Amino acid sequence: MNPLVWISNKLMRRPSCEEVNRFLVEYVEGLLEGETRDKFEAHIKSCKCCGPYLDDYRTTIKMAKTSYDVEVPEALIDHTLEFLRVRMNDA
Amino acid sequence: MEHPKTNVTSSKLDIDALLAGSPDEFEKLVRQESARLFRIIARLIGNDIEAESVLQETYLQAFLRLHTFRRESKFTTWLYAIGINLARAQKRKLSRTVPLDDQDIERMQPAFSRGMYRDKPESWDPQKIALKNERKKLVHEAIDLLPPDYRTVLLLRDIEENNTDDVALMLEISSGAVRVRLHRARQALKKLLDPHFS
Ligand SMILES: [Zn+2]
Repeated sequence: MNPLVWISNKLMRRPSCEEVNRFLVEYVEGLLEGETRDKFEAHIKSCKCCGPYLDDYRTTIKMAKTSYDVEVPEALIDHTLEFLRVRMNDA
Repeated sequence: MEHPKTNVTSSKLDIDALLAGSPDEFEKLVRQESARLFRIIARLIGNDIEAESVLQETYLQAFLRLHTFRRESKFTTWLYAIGINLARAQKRKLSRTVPLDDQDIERMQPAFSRGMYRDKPESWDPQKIALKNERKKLVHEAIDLLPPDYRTVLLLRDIEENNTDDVALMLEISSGAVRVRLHRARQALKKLLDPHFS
């Protein structure tokens, strides 16, 4: 069965904290729709655990995003092409 | 590769010419993909100097294996898969820290009893996050502790912001497996950061 259909069937009643947690990736990705999403949001809004947990979960993603600076060397492409000119002729 | 051109990046890659071994097309590939591929490799290895030689090796491997490309994914996805594998092998060689293992990750997931959190999750203080000046370093070090499979998914998905299906193709696993690993990686990362931000 399509996992999203399965999720929707399962969440027809009020989802538990465990179910909210299990589908946080889908929720954050915007894959939950309609009634399923509404029930999810109603739970998150009223739950002392899931609301703050979602905030921190999003903060974790945001902080991960900015924690790895990489500077691309200016001569990267020239070096790479030069390396390949030599090695591809050998190959 | 005899005639370097400066404007080759502007047009779309001709996959048929590329697979037929056209040097101009291969040069175009290098010009188009190097910056992004370098960032992925550098982040996976954690060392920019090493990343440059792994990038070069990635193109060479791709060139030598052009005949094995099956058109089941985008060509660039196939190229990235080669780069990711080489980068992970290099990281294993260079790594001095022992990363967490699957059981550690399991222990770091929230526990539930009858559908409810067994312990109320630690919640973070936004002021602590804002004021922490070594925040970036803390997060970076915590990500480095994740087991390679989890770290790779987090890098490709949350840091490089590829979509889930592309990450699945690059790693040759299902999209469902990407989502499960991503969720567990994020929750473990949160747990590692709890002592600093709660
Ligand atoms: Zn809840």
